Amino acid sequence: MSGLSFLTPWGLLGLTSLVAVGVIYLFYQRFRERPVTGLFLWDAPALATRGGRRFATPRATRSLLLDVLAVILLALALGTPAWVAQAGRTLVVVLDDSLSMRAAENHESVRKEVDALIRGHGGGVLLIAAGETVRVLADQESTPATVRDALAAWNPYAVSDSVSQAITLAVGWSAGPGEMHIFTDQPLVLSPKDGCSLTLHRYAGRRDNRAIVDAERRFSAETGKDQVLACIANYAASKASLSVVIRTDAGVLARQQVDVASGGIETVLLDLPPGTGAVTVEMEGGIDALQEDSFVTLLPEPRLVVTGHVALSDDGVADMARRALRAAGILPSSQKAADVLVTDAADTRGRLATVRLVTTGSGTILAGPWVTDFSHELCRDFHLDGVYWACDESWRPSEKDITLLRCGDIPLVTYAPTGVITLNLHPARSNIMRTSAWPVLMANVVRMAREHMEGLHRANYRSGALPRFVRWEEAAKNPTRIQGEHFSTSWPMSGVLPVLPQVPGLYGLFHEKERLEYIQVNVLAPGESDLRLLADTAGVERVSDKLNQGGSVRTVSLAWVCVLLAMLLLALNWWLDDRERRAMLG
Amino acid sequence: MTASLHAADTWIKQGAKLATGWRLLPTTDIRRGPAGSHLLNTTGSSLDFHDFRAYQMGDDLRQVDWSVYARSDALVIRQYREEISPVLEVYLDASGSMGAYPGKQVAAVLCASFLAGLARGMEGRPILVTGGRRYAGAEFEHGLVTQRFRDTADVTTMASWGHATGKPVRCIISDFLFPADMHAVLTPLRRDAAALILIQILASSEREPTWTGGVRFRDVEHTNTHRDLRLDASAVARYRTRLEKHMALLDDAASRLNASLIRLDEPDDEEALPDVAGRCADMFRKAGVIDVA
Repeated sequence: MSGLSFLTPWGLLGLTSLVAVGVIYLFYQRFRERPVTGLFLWDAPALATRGGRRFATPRATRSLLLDVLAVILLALALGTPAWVAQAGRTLVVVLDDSLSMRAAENHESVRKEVDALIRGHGGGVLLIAAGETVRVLADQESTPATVRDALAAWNPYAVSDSVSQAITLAVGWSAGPGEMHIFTDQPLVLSPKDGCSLTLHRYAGRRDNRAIVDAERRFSAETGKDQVLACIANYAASKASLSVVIRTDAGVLARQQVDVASGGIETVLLDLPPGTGAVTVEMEGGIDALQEDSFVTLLPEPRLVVTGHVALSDDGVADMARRALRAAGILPSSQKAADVLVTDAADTRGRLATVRLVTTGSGTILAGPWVTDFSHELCRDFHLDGVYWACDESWRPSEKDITLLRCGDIPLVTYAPTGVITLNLHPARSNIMRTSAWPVLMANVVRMAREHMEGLHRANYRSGALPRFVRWEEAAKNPTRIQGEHFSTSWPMSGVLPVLPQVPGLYGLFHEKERLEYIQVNVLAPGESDLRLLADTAGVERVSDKLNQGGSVRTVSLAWVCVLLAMLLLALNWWLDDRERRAMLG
Repeated sequence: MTASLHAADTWIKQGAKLATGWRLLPTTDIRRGPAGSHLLNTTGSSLDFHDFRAYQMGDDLRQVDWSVYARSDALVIRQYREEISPVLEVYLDASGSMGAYPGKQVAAVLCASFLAGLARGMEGRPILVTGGRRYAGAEFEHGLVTQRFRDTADVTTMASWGHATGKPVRCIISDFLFPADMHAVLTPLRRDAAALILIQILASSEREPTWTGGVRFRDVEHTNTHRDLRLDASAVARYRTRLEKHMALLDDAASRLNASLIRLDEPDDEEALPDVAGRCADMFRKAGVIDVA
């Protein structure tokens, strides 16, 4: 339906200003009677009608009519008049964007069917992909060509689907009820929507499948070993005998036989020769309905080696500290190059973290109770059961320090944003270094130091994961970009990338057009690889057929036209008045 | 101001009192008469000797001084100073235009009684001519008191109201605001008069109108006539220009008819009335109509 409507009807209250116009004219046009003798001496323009009362009935003069019309138009403009036209029914297409849609090339069938739907539809098309998040691939304002391009670029790789949420959102986004088609392989049960023609296109995805559901590349700084770890899952009804093959560009690097029970998962750990570049982990054998989850590519992980140095005056205590650091995977280093420094001197600092022991005072022994801030990463799993703590009761941290552990009002562990962890501890008089609390604390220190290391922390990610990247100081001014074949976004600051690449593949990390690192994204989606959970029958189900005359509407605001016309009328009135005045003056 | 009009007697008395100490300047055209008590500098028929002159053809032989002829054989005419007894005819415009503004009525009554006082001071006879009626002598003041200024007749019809004989001094009191040829209107009134004195009285709103906006003008002399006008500054300015031209026409007519023109302004309020009375005599003196007795 098309017609004139007011978007802000309250604005029509502006019509009350007509009263003001009327009052103005009442007073403006009232005539005071004057007795005169020399009437022949007056030659002002005579008015046509009678007057002389205190209030005169406003005459339908040109001036009054034009003023009234202008006020009416301005009041209408306040009401925001708009021509509302039905833009045609909106065709809403919800595509299951999860990885399982690729099984048996279902997504290609979906693409063809949706393309036919779009070609046969005259109105706007809302194309929605329901993956981990709901994404609009094309909205109602898009041209048919744009919609078809978006459909061609649709690439279902999400590790989960959100079809139900997409339906709910689509009803709102499509600006009213319309014709909705849902393409999915999930066993959805939909309820009819009011005024909405809802059609469910269900694809049968229930098949046997085997998949790599987890894989990573490990590098041990202590041993110098480079290893590949892969988790093999068998989502078939029977046991599978699989062969895990590791390839490089040069050929097969390793092969291992694995028997995986039905529904079971087996882990494979293979050593790689030093200096091995990117490797591909594949499976051979078994039933494979979804090929995308049967291989992964793993890049060499960045070697984030954290070095440490212990500079304590007490040799026994220093030895205990070194052992704890070594257990946390830290490499010994000289004091100057150390990332983590454990010291009892006040004037030395490590590059990433400093553990400073305050050994002054008498060394009061404390046995608790302890007040620990477990929300801080330094206190993760840090428990002091059976620990007696020797400290300087009179020591107080600076105002900027955060107290992480205290006993009563005595601060024992503090953290400064500069990376300095201060322990109010006499290690020689305490038993903490002979308990598990000490290596836990050192491990937390090392992990915190590692997370603050510059650059990319990992090279291999599962699709949908959040890459972590710490920018170095020189790169602070210009944004870093992550770019792949189907994905490109800016990384405005250090930390987690806000938008994750979903399509598996190799992505480059660029800074000022210079590629810094590579990121590999692999399909590792246990939920999507288990095709036994999907719908078991295919077909088209007409969920509801009550199609209203809804759909998107197009509104053309006429407010400015009203304002323009009002201005023209006022200008015309002024011009006519001026002309009359000039004519009167002769 | 309306209250002042009801006390017309007061203004009549004030006008008469104002005439004390002044005399109407005589003119040669004022009719000579034995009953006169005022001697002119011209020769006449009084008993006061004035001068001798040589006889000229046409002179009255009765004026020849026969004793001189007997002594010198020359015909000499003996001249005597003339005595006059002026007749003052006051034509008062009592039309609605004069009645529309109380101040104009007061000024008109004041002037008329002042003139009557002058005439009486010279043993003359004042005659009030208004509304087509004549009030002579003692009736003069009665005519003023009973006048209501509602007549439809104005100056243009005065010539038909009849004139006093014997070259009267004729005064016309009006606002002279009528669309007519002034010279043509006044000429019949000047024709048999010894002197013509025009007294124009205008209201302040007639001189300086300040109205703006919508105004309904009602013609006071034609009660059913009105005009609804939209006044602004330019319209008022044009009125003033037209009024000046109209007054210039009156000046021209007065000049051509050898008439004295006195312009009096309507007093703005009651307190200004005595001042107007004072100015009235002053204006008459400046116009050369009166002099100190």
